[in-house]
Amino acid sequence: MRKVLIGILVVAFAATMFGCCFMDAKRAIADAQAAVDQTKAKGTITCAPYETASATAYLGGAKEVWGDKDWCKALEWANKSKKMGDAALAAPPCAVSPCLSMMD
Amino acid sequence: MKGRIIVAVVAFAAVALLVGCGAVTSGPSYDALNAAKADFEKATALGMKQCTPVEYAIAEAELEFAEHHLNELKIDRFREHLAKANEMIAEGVDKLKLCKVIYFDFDKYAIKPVYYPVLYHMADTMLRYSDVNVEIQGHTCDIGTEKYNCWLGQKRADAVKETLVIYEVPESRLSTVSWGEYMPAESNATEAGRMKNRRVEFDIIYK
Repeated sequence: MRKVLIGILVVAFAATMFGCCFMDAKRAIADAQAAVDQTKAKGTITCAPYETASATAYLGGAKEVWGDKDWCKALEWANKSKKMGDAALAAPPCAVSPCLSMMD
Repeated sequence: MKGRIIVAVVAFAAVALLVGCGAVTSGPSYDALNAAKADFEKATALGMKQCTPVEYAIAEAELEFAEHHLNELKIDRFREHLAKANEMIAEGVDKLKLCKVIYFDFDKYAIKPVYYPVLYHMADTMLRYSDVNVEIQGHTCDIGTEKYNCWLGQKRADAVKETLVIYEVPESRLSTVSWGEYMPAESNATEAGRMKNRRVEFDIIYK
């Protein structure tokens, strides 16, 4: 009886771990993809090049390990991509020289 | 008897685990990864993140991917990502030539002969990488009116642009802007600081 209980607990634990990463990674990749698409649409590469390039690179990495069924790594990199994409979208616009108005 | 077998199996497993753990953190692949990481650190110290942030970001991510695949013993994928990381580091370091600073004499916009080789190498680098354009930014010290300094900064930027065009960089890949005295690199309180402010800087614009 005790052995059966332990077995059930182990299986449940493994299933939870697997399930959480799988579901979360799926959603995280979709979110990261949306953020990266937005950075492209807004052209953030000009004023936030590091964040924009990083978001795109980590999204690629997340998709690659998703293909390997490494859900937890996919989740980690998709989250990184989303964070960088959000940072690029939140970056202030490029600085404008005061000379531009002065020389008109 | 049964107990002894179990002890032997556990001992064997422990030894195998220890030997195994030791083996996966050394060897030629790890040496190659560590060499790439060392190159990346050197490039970072040279200002790669500020000058070529896209190459920096890709190299940083690729190194992480490479390490992950190596730990997972996916050697082909490891090699693929390591090669990409090395390529980005090399390209980033090469493009550092685009982030030089050209200094000018007081109230002058003529380029000093000492900077012609610098601009020649810049032009050569630009011609090798078609994925980037360059913004040429003219600056001045704070002597003179703000309006005059805006004009002078523009003349400095234009002079550099003209030289790069002579070195066959397409005009369409170069833009200019004057910051006048508004973005000093050093304090204008001393002559040494003002000398550092009479300059042209470059900003890589990714397409």
